Amino acid sequence: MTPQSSFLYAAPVVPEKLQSLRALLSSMNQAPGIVDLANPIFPFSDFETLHFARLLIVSDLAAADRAVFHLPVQGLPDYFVLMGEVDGEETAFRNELVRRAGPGLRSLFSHCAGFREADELSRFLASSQVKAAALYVNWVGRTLLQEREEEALRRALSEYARQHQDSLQKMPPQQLWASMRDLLDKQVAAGELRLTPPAATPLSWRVRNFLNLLWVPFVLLVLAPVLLLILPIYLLALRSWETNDPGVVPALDSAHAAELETIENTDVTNQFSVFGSLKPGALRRWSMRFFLWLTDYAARHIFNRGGLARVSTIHFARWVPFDGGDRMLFSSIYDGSLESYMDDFINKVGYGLNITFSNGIGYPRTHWLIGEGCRDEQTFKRVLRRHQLATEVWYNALPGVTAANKHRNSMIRAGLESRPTDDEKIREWAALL
Amino acid sequence: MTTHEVDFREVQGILRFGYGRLTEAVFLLLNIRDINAARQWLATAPISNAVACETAPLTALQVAFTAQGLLRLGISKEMWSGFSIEFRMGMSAEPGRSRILGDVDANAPQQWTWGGPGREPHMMILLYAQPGKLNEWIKTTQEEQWENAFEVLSSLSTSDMEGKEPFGFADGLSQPTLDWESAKRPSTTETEYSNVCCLGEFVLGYPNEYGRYTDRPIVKEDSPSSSLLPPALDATGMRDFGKNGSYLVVRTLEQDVAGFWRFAQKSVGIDSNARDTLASAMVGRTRDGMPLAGMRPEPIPGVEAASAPQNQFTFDEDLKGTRCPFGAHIRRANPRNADLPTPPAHGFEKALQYVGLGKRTLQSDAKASVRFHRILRRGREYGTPISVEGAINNKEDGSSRGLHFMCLVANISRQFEFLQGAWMMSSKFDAMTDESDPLLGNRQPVSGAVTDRFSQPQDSGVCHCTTGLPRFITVKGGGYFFLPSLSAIRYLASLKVAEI
Repeated sequence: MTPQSSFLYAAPVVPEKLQSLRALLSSMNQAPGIVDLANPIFPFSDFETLHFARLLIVSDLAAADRAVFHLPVQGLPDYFVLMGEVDGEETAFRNELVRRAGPGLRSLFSHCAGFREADELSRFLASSQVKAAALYVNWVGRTLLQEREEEALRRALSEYARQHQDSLQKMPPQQLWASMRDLLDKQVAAGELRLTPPAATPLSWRVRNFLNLLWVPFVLLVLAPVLLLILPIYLLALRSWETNDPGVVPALDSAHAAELETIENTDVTNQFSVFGSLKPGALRRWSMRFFLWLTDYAARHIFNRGGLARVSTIHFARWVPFDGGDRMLFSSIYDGSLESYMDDFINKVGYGLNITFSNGIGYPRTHWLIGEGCRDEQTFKRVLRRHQLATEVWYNALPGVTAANKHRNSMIRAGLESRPTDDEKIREWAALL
Repeated sequence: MTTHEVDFREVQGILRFGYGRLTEAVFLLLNIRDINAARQWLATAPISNAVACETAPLTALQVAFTAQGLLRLGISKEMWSGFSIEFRMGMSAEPGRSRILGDVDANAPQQWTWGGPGREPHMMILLYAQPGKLNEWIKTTQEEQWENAFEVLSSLSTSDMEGKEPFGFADGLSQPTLDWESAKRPSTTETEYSNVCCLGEFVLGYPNEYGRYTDRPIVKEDSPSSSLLPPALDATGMRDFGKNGSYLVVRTLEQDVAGFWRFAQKSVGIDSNARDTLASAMVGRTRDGMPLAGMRPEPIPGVEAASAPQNQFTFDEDLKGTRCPFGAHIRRANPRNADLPTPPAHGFEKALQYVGLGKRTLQSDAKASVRFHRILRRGREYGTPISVEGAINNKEDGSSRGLHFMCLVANISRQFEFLQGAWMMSSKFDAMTDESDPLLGNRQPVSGAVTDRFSQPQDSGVCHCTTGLPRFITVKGGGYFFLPSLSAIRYLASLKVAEI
């Protein structure tokens, strides 16, 4: 299988050029929230390995809240960010990026500090990378090609099943399976469908993954005595923060909420980006890095096939520290409306939200880190909206197909490529069509 | 806790009663002509409260306001910001909202007969009466300043279809039971479905299922007329304008009864039993109200013994959807689940469930927990009823019929809009694809894919799929209203013209 990689290139925007950058980005859309695939700057659909991509201006919309922690409110840069998820390595994609979208990228990055016309684009991008502290992939190794082929497979089989449902319902399971398999073989032979066999998993990735699998528990083991010593100090500090942290009670900016709603829900899948400042303090920052490190480990080795704990509607998600850890970008692609997404999170993985977000300025008060926090539902939703960025341009290579759909499609393919073991399993498989 | 005792004299009646015996009803959509005259009318109007009487009342009057109406009456900026953002924006003003609600194409607000963008009424007056008494009641409520105060934009009449909705199905059978005594203390994770809902899910000023107070307008103690309002229980020094009030969502849904039954008949051939079976599968109940999922022996909290045959069921015994299809109307409207995935597990398996590991199917955890998304329905049908045979045989007169859908919720976005957007209109509900609600769906393609299918899982494996469902329901009007407590109405009546 070909594992996915994420990329994120960020460069500070020259303040005088901010408006013109916004106008340029806006010109890439055909309507609010809907990208123009024929735009002259970035030929999104030319990239065969690009699952999702976003171009956005990242700024802390709630910078004023920093004042409650005596942090400076001015002088923080806004970033222009190009980010996305691809199959294979980022380096290979970067080359393709420069080759296909060089001029467009130059015109975009010309609005940024540190970019000069004479610069070599690939090197500039490489040096502008910001790595994620934690990255979640819904299905590690499921390539865009695989998703497209399996969706086409599902549609073809589903159409056939609908047309012949009366006779198919009467067939014994073995015969039913055989006739669907027969249909697949015919369609493949006729060139209507393709099921490309997965590529061999790159050895370097397997080695890196295996080392990471061992490394984290190893480090935990080695550091265990230190961690145990720090634990009571941390817990005391935690309770002190939870009791004494100044509260930030933002009113909802209805204009901002309206702007966000205008670009949302044009498809069944939405993108989501929030950016904010973190509360100051060495212990806080270190504990945040620690928890994100564990989250990344869990996403890589436990939650890598179909769900992030109980939430199965996220395609990709990442936590990216900016400015040396002073500020954090959280970004995800999820199915359904924001309301359903946030509710799901509060109810299903509230503890996870609290652990990874409670260090953000403005996050509702937690109780022993895991409790309360996002369960102050209305405050939580308001804070999220307050920090949410109206992403200027976003691209979905496969619109109209949710994460659950992609999972179902893979199950359909799997059930065809190897015959299910008994009649009951064939019936379960047939119900997927 | 005595702080949560409800003073029923404060609550408008429809939060507690459906007024089922008051079978005549009309809903008037008004603009306020003269603010002072309107205030005078509000001060003396005989608005019905929720106090239970020995005998059913002969008449009832309820009053609700849109955001525009409240602004017209002169509420302060402080109070304005306490209303939810979706209420302030209204149901029809934003394309983003219309997308979520499915109000696109033929349902688009530009084509509504009431409530469209720029045409939201200020107020809605709800008049109920026992048979034969409505006209007199209308006259009674319209003495005293009425002509000066209001202009009637639209008059939504209703008909008594004797407990059935226009397609011919028994309706209004399933309602949440409001916890008026505030006895329920929901834990962070509820493992069993219950029909009892925290009072704060429907009535503002009381704790909701999150144990918190939903945002509502509160005003400072020293502001004018604030002494008319009760204290805010979650904010010291503030008075609670929203307490004992609620949000009222109204949508006029025109139903193509002939189209529905003709399609059902055409889909199955000539057999009328098969036609009724398909129609019941789309609804999730038989025409006389029996749930396809079948009753369960264990009682459900909040479901009375008398309504057990219709409501004492969950879908735990129908995990494959072969009895009641996953996409059936009542299964979308209320999946009757709890906070954990289905099927329920025990011991170590259950611990795994909490973190999303262990045995799962596509549908195990695909729906949110319904206790955060209940609505209290109070709709009324309109138009002349038509029988199934009459509809199929084209014996109709071209008149329209349908439902003035109405529901009461404390949080429009989390309850009504979520239900409508994520469950009803979503063609991806419950890990499915290509189908939205068979009754309400607008059949608009999504990203190039159809949404006009309806699938019925079969024991043999292959689903029975009906395709090409036409649109059966067209939205003709709608609005978000605020249903204030009686004290809050007295407060509005006493407002001087406020500085905005």
